Amino acid sequence: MIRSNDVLRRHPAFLSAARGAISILLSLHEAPYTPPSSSASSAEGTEGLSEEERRKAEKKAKKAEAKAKAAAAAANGSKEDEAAVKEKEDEDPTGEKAWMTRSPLEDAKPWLTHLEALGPDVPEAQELIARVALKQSESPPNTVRAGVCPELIESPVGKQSNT
Amino acid sequence: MHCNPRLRQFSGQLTLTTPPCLSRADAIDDTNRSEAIAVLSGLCDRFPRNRTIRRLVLTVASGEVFRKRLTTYVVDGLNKGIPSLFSDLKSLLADEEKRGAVLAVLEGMRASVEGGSTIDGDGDGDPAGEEAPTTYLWLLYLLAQTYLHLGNFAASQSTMSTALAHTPVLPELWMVQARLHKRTGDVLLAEDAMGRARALDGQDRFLNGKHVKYLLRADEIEQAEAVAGLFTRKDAPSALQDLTDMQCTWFLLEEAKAFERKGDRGMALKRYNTLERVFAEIREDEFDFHAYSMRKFTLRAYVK
Repeated sequence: MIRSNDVLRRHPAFLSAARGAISILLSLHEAPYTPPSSSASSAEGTEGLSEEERRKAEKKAKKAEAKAKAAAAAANGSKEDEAAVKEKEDEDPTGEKAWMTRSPLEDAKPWLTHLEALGPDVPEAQELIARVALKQSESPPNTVRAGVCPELIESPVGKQSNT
Repeated sequence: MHCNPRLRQFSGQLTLTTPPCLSRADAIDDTNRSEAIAVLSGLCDRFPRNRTIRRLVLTVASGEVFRKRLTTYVVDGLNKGIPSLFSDLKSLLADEEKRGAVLAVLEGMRASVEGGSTIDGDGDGDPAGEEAPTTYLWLLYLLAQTYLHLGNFAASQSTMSTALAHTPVLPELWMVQARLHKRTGDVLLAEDAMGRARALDGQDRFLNGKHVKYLLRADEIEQAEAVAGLFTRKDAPSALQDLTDMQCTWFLLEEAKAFERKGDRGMALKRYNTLERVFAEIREDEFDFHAYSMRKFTLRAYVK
């Protein structure tokens, strides 16, 4: 029974999730991400927003959240409800915290730790580890595409990544 | 192979019918086929109500014997109205010869009924010699699923249309229609059909889950959560929270993929992270369980 934990993360659901998460994190590393337009003020893409502006937008969103919580608490009235709601509070309702990461490849590390523990006989895990490792070894980012010789690139692509 | 204990006991005595031998089709070849069938027939007589043995004969038999046994098996299943008959026979379709035989038998039955006779052509049961409408319906259902499995979407659709015109209120039919649309790439039509299936039985949790999945495939995330919410705990903060607590990985995965298709990578990543936490939770729970097992002296799982 102790061994069941060794194979727990071989479950296809975990591997699918790892594949999905790592794909997204790699794409965030590649190029700036603009989420689909929504009404939230902080939903504009990272491009064009300076550090300060971003912090302001985050503060605004936090205030709006706190306001909504207070309103809900007032409406509820009962203390138990408050405690329960607080416990299951959604810290990241629009998924911003997830994608507004400064280091997508660092975020991928927890996934990789688990994948590496699966051992060499799970090819899907190894593939994902390799993809991230290849991305990390590229320096600077976006100038070396897999399989393309650096000499053939006329000028380095000067895109800034999220890092 | 699903054996009841008596069968396993009895069959252990006969060399040809030890379970590993029978459950492996490659152990039976033309040299011992008729012998195996003879032994199985003997078992059938001994255990007349056991369906497993009769189904096993179909795996083992070939040619004319196969056709005959198949016809009896299918007629029996259709008369009883067994919805899972197709799932039962599906594995036979892997063999090319049997595939042809199955289709021929089923189409023959269909022609027989549509020609005004019964499915086995001998006109018994009904004084007018016609087949019962329920049997005909289950036959169409079986046929549609067979064509769908074999990738013949046109034939499947035409069979489905006939079946749905015959009886539009059977959820199973709409489920097959939904699956057909899914396989032909019509996610919206598939969702619509599955929605109709669900509407025919609001208390069916399985249909609810299927509809939720089809809604997510059609990128209708809010609606999917609403439909899923019909079966989640009412005192949970949200349907999503309850599904996460219940460790419903398929829902989280499908939602994540739906968000990705809609371009919302943040929410997708968030769902993937939730999934990761589910696995971490399972691991933690198991860790606690070791101490519990020790306390209760349930140690067998720890000893090789």
